Amino acid sequence: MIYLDNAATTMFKPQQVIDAVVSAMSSMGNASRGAHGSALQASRTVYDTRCKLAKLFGCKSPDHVIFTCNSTEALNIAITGAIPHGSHVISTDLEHNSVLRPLYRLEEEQNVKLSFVPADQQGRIDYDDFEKLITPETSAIVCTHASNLLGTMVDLVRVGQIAKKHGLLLIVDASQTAGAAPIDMEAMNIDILCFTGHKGLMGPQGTGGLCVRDGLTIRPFKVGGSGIQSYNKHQPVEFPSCLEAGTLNGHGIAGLSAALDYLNEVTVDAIAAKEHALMERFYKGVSAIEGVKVYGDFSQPRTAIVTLNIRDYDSAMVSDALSEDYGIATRAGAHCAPRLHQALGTTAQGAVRFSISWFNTEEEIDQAIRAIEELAQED
Amino acid sequence: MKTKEPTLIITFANTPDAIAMEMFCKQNDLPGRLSPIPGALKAGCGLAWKAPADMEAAFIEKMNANNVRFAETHIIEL
Repeated sequence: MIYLDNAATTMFKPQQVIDAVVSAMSSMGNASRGAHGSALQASRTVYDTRCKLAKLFGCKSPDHVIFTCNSTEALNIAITGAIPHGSHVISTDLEHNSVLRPLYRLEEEQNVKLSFVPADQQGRIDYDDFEKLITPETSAIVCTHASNLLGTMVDLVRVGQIAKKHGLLLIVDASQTAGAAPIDMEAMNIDILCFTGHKGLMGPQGTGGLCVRDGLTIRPFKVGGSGIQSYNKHQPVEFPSCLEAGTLNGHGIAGLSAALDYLNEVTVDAIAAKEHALMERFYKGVSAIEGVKVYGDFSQPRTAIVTLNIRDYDSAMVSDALSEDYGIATRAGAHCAPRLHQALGTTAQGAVRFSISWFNTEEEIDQAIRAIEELAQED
Repeated sequence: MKTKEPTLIITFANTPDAIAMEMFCKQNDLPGRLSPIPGALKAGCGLAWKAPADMEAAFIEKMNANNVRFAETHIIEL
């Protein structure tokens, strides 16, 4: 199989990630739950992973790295817990439903007003629109670092400057960029960075989290066991316990830790360079094929995604043909990105997304180009 | 049970602080180990750093000098 659905999850993981999970499953106790050897080892693994993530993302305090089961949970915690009731929030048309649905819920249940920076038909946004949309009630900007549909990257340095200038909270969805592009919370003025472990970080599914700027208070999304302050009727206020009720995914975190070691060895810059080169190769190959429409502006910074349609073919049928006839895994349909599909005019047809990883090869890319060539010749 | 002797117990607000203390002590060749907090003491975290009683002042000085977070220090018979 040629796996080109890495924006959904990176299916191929470094062997050391698999080994670390297997090892943890036969040796790990419960972190923060006891002082015996296996519980302490779990606490050490979890803390060590917090330290690695803090370093990777430029988060000042390792104890402000909170583990969740994915980006969606992290975004729910951030959006629900940090945005004041009745305030105004600015987001963008590039967002995934993991951002949109928590925002829509705040709109319906907590009188939060929403504005969206529009995307054009190439999936581009105008950064001046952020400032144009600010009102006296604006409390936050919530935006993705890169579109999961097109790969279009948002200039977070620029958005961070706007947020800082106007005293707004900046919550970032880094689902598509964590591990695939450099992120620096300080340089980008990010208050809350939400990430998943199973995509660019190449860790196990069921891992993810949020990094929180020192001094921010977030209302807990869930409360329960913390391993500390057992007689306190309320969730402890200390980080990370305030946002981590219940047993962590220690086995997954052990795998994520090994993945971070792997990333550190090969470097995020090297990964981004290789993925970008493969993406350019694929883009040049398919954009020259008659009947193929590629979406997005390839002159702008982007992640390694190429999204296309062939004539008016149903994207689901194209993706199915790629899978059944060529053994190529892609993602068709709406990609949980309704506003951007509306901007592109692809709500009816959907689109076929090819998303590339560090483990793909030029040969695989060339095979995928030939498959599109053949499909485009069919009636 | 073994004979009781004065022991330094350092407490913490949460588990990350306790684990950070362990890392700090390893890096700086400071004696001791993580243990359950004795029942006579109260702290946020159930983990404590257990070390020789005569090193209380040295620990406090090093922890403060290196911004190592801790809750309290106690000398108790263990």
